[in-house]
Amino acid sequence: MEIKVMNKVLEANDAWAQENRALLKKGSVLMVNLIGSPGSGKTALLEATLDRLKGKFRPGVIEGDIATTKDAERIQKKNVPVCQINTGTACHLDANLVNSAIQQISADTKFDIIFVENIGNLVCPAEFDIGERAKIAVLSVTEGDDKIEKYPLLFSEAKALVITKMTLHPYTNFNLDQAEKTFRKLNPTAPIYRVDSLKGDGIGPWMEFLSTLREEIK
Amino acid sequence: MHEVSIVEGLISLVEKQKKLHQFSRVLEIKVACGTYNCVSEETLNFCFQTVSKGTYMEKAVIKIHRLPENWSCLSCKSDFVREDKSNDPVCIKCGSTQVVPRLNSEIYLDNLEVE
Repeated sequence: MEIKVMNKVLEANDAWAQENRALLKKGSVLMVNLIGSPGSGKTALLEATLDRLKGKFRPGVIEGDIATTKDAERIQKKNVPVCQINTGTACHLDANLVNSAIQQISADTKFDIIFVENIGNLVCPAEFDIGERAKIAVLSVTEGDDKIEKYPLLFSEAKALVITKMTLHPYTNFNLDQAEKTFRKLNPTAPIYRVDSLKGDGIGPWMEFLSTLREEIK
Repeated sequence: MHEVSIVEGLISLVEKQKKLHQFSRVLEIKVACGTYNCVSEETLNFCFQTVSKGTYMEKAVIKIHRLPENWSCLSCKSDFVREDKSNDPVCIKCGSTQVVPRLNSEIYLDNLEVE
């Protein structure tokens, strides 16, 4: 006997994602999901961003890693509330895990923006909706401009592309024009920011983008 | 291992179907997913065999088929299913090269073969 079903396999995850959206909407919280390879500079971008948010927005951070609390410790130095999720084996954060993290950090603090730093991976995190307002693709010049084409799902879904480690650009063969061209083929509208998180170059326009996203949800 | 999350989702959907229909064994699980979804049939079956051992699902084989690749044309605003596999796709209606893929990351339980 054959049974026709056609149901979403990740419906349990999607239900949690909707729950997260409702929860964030209630508190007017913007949640962004930073996705990039291990070592692409997600944490450094976050550190540079948090420094510049001081006095403007109340940020919170959810850190996803397979193991260790190293990233959470870096964020803690910025005096920002942070919750570290260690997934052990899973290569992505799912909406259920993020829900418990939101509950945990929101217990006695109010936020304007929650940053989720997803597990370093260009594949799986793109497939799981966690209830974020925007997925942000983080790509460093040392990884190569071909990554956009090789991992198209993330780059097509991203609301912005942040190209990091720009100071190193002259020492690499990363072709910025080619990268932008390839990105545009997948994603005609999302803005592209070229930054160097350690020096602070190019961070301004990225900060304006975050402010605009935050305005949109008010 | 995102395949484990997918297998968990599949198993809970099969269990829902068992409550609706009378069956004692599952023989085949057909899964439909977007072209760019990085799900491997081999890995999915490997995870599934481990998780379903000793249950009415243990004999089931998972088969994946890919959903059509949907594209949108930015010039004439039409949506189309891409059939050519060249590096520079064009709109099948107006011939424009200003086309973008609508990458589908969804995974569906399409149908079940049971007895």
